[in-house]
Amino acid sequence: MKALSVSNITLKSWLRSKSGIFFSFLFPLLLLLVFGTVFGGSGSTSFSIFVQNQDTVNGTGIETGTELSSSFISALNGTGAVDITMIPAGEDARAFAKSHSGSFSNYRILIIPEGFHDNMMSGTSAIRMNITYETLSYLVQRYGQLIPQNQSAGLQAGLEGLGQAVAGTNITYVGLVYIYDPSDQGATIARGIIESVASAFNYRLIGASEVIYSEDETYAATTFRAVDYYMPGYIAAFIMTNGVIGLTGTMTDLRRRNVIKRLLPTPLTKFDWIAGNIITQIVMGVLLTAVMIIFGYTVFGIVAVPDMLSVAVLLVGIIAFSGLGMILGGIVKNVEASTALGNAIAFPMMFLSGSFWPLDVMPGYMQEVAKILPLTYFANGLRNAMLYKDAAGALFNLEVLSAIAAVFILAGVIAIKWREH
Amino acid sequence: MVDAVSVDSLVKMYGKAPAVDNISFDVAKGEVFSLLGPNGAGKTTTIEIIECIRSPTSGSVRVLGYDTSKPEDVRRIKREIGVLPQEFSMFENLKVSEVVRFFGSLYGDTSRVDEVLAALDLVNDRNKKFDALSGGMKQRVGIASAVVHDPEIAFLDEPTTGLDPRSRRDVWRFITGLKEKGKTVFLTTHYMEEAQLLSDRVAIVNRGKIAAIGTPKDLIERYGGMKKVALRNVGEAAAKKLVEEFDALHENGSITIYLKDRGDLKRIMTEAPFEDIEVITPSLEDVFLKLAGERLKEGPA
Repeated sequence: MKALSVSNITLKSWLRSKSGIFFSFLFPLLLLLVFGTVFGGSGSTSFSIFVQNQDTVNGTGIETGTELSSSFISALNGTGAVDITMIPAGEDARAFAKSHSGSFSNYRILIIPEGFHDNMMSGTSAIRMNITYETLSYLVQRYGQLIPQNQSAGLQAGLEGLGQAVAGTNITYVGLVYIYDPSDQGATIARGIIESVASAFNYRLIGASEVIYSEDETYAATTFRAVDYYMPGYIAAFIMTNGVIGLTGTMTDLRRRNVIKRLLPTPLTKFDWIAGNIITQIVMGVLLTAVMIIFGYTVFGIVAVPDMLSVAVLLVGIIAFSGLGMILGGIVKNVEASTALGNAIAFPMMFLSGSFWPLDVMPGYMQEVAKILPLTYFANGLRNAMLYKDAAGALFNLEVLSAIAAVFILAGVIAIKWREH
Repeated sequence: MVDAVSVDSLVKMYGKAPAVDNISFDVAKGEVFSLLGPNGAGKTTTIEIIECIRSPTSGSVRVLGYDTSKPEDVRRIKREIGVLPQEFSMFENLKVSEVVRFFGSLYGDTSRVDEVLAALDLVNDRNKKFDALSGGMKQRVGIASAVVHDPEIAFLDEPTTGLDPRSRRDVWRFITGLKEKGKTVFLTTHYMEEAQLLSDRVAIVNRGKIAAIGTPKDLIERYGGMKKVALRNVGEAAAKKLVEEFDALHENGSITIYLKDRGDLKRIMTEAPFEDIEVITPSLEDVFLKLAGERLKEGPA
């Protein structure tokens, strides 16, 4: 009952505090809105690119691209992955791109050189002749004994003639010019798209087809968008900050203002005090989760739905980070130091634990660091339970998190002093 | 009959320095007992040991017969005492009534919330937030929180600091009311007239030791010294004569004369022309001045 009294007043105090409401609810929602907007799409991102087609013909007084150069641009446009802005053939491509880009934007330019069509045609003919010659040579070598002798001499003569023709033909390669800023990560992706289109062109012109191909097969029952993936991570991260920054600051402030000292000569025990604060954190955490899920569902159509296992992970996670908040609040003596320490622990943990992006994109040593962070298990456990419905994965994370929670609570009990010295 | 508080050979060391240096005293049930002393004298340390929130280095303390060194007794003691610390502070966003109700709930009794709010003139402010209150009102909320569970002993550390004269008298009435109900009040104050008016007994603490203990009357008789007369606007020649003849202090046209016997007053009245005379009876202030060697300053100890 005393723990409930503590929870009652701490909750009222928190909910009436403007900064408490902002950092506990509005800030997480704001970040969800920003991240959800940035990562909320379903792969429809396109990369802007300037294209200058210098391979033109001037038939009727109007300058137009040659057949193959125009086809190349159409094929590039058809991928849907690039957003093309054409640069007139006579313009200075760099100056044009610079003046048509924003002040802070990188620009990427693809230049299709003059002679693209002709060189492509001649190059294609040469390659086709070469392939024909080599194919016939291979057939004659392998199956020559099956050819009647009266036809063999004629075939050999024809083959030699073709060989001389091939030897006298020079293959002209076609070079596309790609101008970009090496620090522009989007430029690498745009380059990959251009190379894919060029490769398809090469195959089509010589009449070849791909022998090796890849076929997609997904193991998840549902297809998730990035915003679905990140939602459990956001919930875990903000519950962690409520404990590590919020609770730590509150504990230190209450001790500085002698509020805790006033409680010492009452029948309230240390365990009542800790239990009351954990109950408050649980109520706050569950409220935050509900608000984020409702907001995510309403604004982004997020599919993550909590089940009983998710609730278990959520509760144990809240208890674990409440324990960490108790430890820091018990150790640190002044409010400024507790805020600094809380931030120093919370923010690196937030970014290194895979809450905001997959661990795979981080360097190997950082992935190793993530393995020792409690938030990693909290975020993964929630993700397994809420999103993937992977009970085994969620249970593993729940077990690790439970052990961490037990250690933190025990250390918190030791760190909080319920008697002056 | 068991004493409300019994302190025996209490010592509290901070490093090598004694904050409380082998003190002993008893407080009877139903008594208003005051601890007076300059800053750093060891008053707060002593009170906090009695309140079971600080451990002594040596010695023993019993509250209502329970031993403060035994955990099971500490639980009983905490149910029977109410505490107002020197500077009462609480969760800033709570309302006055919520603060008092919270403390009642810690003892499982919230039935007296309205009663104590009325007794401390807080009814009209019950919905005000704690952080919006003046220092004096916060202090009254602190007193209400200390007594909401009707404790046997109330420890009130500087209960009227920061209060206006009217509120101070209201608190005095409240403390007198507690005494009339048979409660024990353990008081610390910087206001000598407050200690003199309210206390059955006073202990003067200096440098961790009890310099004197007794009723205010006893202490004044023992340590307060002689009565004094203050004469104002005395002529220069008469002043010179009085200073030569009596144990007197001449300051800014006024003379303070320490009387040795009744005859002194008669001689002064006939020999010196003056416009105004005041006879000053010794007070606890004089006792304190004599024992502690300094005037008691206002402010936290």
